[in-house]
Amino acid sequence: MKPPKSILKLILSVIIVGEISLAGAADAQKSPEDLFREGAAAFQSGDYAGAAKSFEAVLGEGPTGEALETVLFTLASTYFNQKDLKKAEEYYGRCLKEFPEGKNKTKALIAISQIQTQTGRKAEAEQTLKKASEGTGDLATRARLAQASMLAAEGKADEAVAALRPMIAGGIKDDITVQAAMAIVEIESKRGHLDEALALLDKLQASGDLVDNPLQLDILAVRIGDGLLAKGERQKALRMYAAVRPKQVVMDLQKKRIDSLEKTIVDNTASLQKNPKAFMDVNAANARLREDQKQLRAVLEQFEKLPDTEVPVRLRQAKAYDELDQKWETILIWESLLESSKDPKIREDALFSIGAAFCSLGRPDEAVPMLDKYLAEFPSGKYASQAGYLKGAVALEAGDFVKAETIFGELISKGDSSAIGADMQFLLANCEFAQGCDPKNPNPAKYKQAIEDYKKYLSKYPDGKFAEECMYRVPLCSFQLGDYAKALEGFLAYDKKYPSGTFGGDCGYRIALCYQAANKYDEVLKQCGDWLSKRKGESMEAEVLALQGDAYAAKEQPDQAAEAYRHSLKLGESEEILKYALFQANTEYQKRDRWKEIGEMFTDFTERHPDHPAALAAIYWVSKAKIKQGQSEEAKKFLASHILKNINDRRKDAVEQLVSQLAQSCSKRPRPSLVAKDGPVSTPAPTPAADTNAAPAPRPAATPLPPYDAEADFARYLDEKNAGDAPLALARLRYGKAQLAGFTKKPERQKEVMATIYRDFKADQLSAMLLAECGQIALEQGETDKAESFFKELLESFPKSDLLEYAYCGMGETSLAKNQPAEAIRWFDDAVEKANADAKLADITFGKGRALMELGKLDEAKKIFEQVAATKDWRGEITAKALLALGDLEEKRGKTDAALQYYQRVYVAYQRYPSVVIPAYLRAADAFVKLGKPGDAAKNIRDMLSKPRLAASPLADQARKKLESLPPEPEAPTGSSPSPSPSAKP
Amino acid sequence: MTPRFHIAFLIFVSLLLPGTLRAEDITTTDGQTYTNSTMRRSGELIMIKVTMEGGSGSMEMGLPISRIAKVAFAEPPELAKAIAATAKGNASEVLSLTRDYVSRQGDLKDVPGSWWPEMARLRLMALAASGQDRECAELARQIGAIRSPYCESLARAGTLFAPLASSEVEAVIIGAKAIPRLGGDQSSALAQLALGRGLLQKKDFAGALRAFLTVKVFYPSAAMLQPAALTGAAEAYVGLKDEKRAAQNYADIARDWPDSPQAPSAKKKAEGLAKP
Repeated sequence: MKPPKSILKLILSVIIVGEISLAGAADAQKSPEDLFREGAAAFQSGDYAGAAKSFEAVLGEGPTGEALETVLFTLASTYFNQKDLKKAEEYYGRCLKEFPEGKNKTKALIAISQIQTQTGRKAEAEQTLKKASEGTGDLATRARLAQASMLAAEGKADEAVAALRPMIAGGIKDDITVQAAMAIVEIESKRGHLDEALALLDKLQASGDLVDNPLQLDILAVRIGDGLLAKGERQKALRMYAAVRPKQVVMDLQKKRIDSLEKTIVDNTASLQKNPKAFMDVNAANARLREDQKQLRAVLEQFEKLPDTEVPVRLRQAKAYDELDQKWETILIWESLLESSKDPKIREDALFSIGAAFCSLGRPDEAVPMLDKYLAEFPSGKYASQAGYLKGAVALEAGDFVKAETIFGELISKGDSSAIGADMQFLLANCEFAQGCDPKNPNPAKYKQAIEDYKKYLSKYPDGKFAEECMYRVPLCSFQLGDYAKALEGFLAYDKKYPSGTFGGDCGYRIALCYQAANKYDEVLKQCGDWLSKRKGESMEAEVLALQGDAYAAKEQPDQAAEAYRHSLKLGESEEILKYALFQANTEYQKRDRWKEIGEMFTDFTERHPDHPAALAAIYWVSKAKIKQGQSEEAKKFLASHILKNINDRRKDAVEQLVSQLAQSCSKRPRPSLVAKDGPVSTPAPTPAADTNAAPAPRPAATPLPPYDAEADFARYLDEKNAGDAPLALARLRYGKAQLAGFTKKPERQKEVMATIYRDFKADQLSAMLLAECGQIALEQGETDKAESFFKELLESFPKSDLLEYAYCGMGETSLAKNQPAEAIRWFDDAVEKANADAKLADITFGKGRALMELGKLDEAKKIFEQVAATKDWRGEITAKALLALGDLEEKRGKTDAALQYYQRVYVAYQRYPSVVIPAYLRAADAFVKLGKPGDAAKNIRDMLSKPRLAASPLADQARKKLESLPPEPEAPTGSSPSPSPSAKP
Repeated sequence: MTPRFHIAFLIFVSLLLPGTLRAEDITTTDGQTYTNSTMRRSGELIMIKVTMEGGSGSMEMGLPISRIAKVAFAEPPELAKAIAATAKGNASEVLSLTRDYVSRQGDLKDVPGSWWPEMARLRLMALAASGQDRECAELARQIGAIRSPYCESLARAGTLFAPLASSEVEAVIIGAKAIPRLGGDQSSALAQLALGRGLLQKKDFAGALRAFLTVKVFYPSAAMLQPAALTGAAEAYVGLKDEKRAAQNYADIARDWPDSPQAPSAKKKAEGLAKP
């Protein structure tokens, strides 16, 4: 920093620009005012000697007070400009001495500090500035800035910052505070205090409108950002880099600033016309503004020659965001570069990087067009191979295996020899493998292609990084295809080549599975034994133990099988293996009536896996084991405690199962244990020798037990008092009561209680099971909207429930009821495809048949009804319905004869189902009428009404009405009656 | 040393001659200074009460605003606190600190030297950040009455919140495009926030995310808008089914902007999304 010369220049400029015409030369008669005016004119024209003479003359007149202070200060300033620093200092000193608190105090101190600096007395200058800065107002603040500047230049950074800090204590609000803040940032960043610099620069950026040198702000931001990045502080560096603006934006801002200064100068000058007396103030202000302008122009010119800093900064930002895995932010940065840079290299990097970032985000819809754009613009670009590879990889990631296969296939067929060619070959095979085992659309034929492509990889890249995996995947494909012999051969070959390979554990397990498929159980046991001795503690151990259990079970060794499953249960982690081992062990224990072990196993399971989906089912089994062991009371208490624990949790599907088990346990009077209790079995006392002469003791009569009250027993464990008054708890309690009614053979009561649940509770208050039940009841009642609300709630609130098939099926039936057969078919298909329907499969299949019939697709419908009628496992009411529907279908076709046969089959074979049989009788009657046999029709209906169960049905009324419209029963011919008339005399 | 600082050092002596201003001084464009005790507005005139020499009395005179170079208004004591609260994204505190000043001092907002534009700017950002769209747009209109490029730009961005409040999304999109997305000032950040919210209403999640992240990536110094922009980004991530990033964003809000109005809800949402 070289202030002296500049100050001098500046003051000269202040003087030179002054424009004022004052009176001519002084003469002896002149008043002090005239002399002062002459001095000012001389000062304006640069005649400092003349000015000094005039001002000295004024001083000689002996002014006092404010006039003296003004003259002393003006005279000092004149000598300062005359470079007579000694005299200048003398007069400034005198001004201060005589007016220590005068209006020019701060100005005089600042001027003295300048003189001291120019004459090499820096320490004194610093002290003087310090004194100046202790005053108030704008000048004192500027003095402090100058003092800090001197301190910083001398390497006294701490002191400089200490001087500057108070200036920004109230925030950054104006030009002075901006300058102070910039100075602190500058000093702190240079001495590595990046956090302090960062915090302040952040504030400066927030006050961007106050910063009149945006370029400097950018330079500081880059410097601090680089420092932070070098220290690995990416987030902070990013905040700094964000401040850097495009070069053109900064230049425009700088130009605007220069223009606005020019306008102010012009306005100031114009104001002199109105107020000439303000010449000193205006001149000083304009001089300051011109110097500002000059500096800003210099900076601008320099900046114009520099390369744009935005691009390198943005590249650093993109890299930092990418490393932070903030891909969208990375994309934004590259997009900004695409907008602002015309450099093709940048464009190439940007297009590829955006595509790659979208790939990482798993967004093929955005990634692929961007990569295509890249490939179109840079077909032989440096990322061409990678772009193609990424397109395939993103499709693979998104599960579009067909598309991925196409992309990789095309790239490989073009003979891509890049380093990623091998990877593409491997991924191509993986795409095919994935299509083979795609759960939504399995295509087993693809395994064969996968085998070919894995083999191609092995022949082209025998030492490639995926060679081992390819060698493992080839037999895996055969395994998936069910070709266990080939699979076994391949797995054994892999095991030989890679005895400690990555896939060794899985391979060994699959070798044993291959033997299991071949029913070679001893070999399975040997393989499992080897595996367990070699690989104990590895991740597949639970699966191997379960397989061992399967082999023992197949060999009918239930004790060993149960032991293996129990061991698997202890080690298993996945839900599937836990569930499998648990229930398989249960099956094996049951074979040996080992209810004690069953109870222990399920108890242990509920404690270790309280959140497992099977945990509540396990409670059911614990209670069942207790009952089997004659511990009925404990079983009920145990059930009740677990029911109450979960009664308000609508997510716990198995609560209803437990409630039902409790109801069943309470439905009958408890009986003694069916199995021997543990503990010493008491030996029966020896029966005393029978006294053959003694009269036989009378057989004691059985003491009649009091009547058993199942409902009271149930209430001992579960009632309104302990269940609470939450809607779900009340609904579940009613469900229990309904179940109890069912178990005690009171079907009407059961229906009645269930109906109260459907009537009194809202859908969003019920559990999945109750929603399914209530939906069905609503459907039966013909309340389709209500049914729909229950089923929808089940679908929306329990998307992973095992009971979803009830919802899909229910929605299908609702659609049918609303005469929307096409919609119904979609629901029924969803029930099979999305919910893997099992329990409701018969109803779903039948429902689909009905929908097809309503759509007029009679052939398709017939096939379905026939399938339902022919499926043995479904035999029952649904079979009767299918036959009835087949009759209706034939009737639709106009084949009344054929229809009649179906109707007759219904009432001949399915009398147990009045709701189906009565319509069958009625339709058969219609068919007889149509065939011109009204007598047969009437006979048919009379036959129906002769059956008390059918006659009691509400549907029977229809039959009676129909009968009235038919010809009466023919009278038996007189005298020829086979049976005697009641009036006939013997 | 920064050039600006250097300049300041070089030129300060040029201030040797002009008289200093006292806090209550008014300087006109022609260099005259008036000491006033009270000041009020009457149309385009600022009426000032001038004390007569010797303190014998006072008179009121009118000055056209165009003739006023600067009024040395006393800095409102709430300003520094509001700036500090803004840096923390504490919108409710900023709103409380600026309410009275902005409503009472609006008359003198365009007088050179007024603190009103700065206080109003802080309030505008806080209104936008706290979702008070109609109030934000109304204040933006008042700011727009001040003839300065910065205020005009701020007003353009702020008034975008009016159509946002009435769900006129297309108007927001068109308006936001008229304000530079990159290289701008805080108005650009404000416009991007409005744009993001508009696109979110339209369920254009990718577009909304871009707008919100523009505030984060290119305008990190717009502290007050950060928590709102990050919340918008999190909502957009949820719309894009990227729950991991949504959770991360909510967690960032709770950690980095604990005083913001969005923090409590962000904390809950971060925890909710983190659950399996």
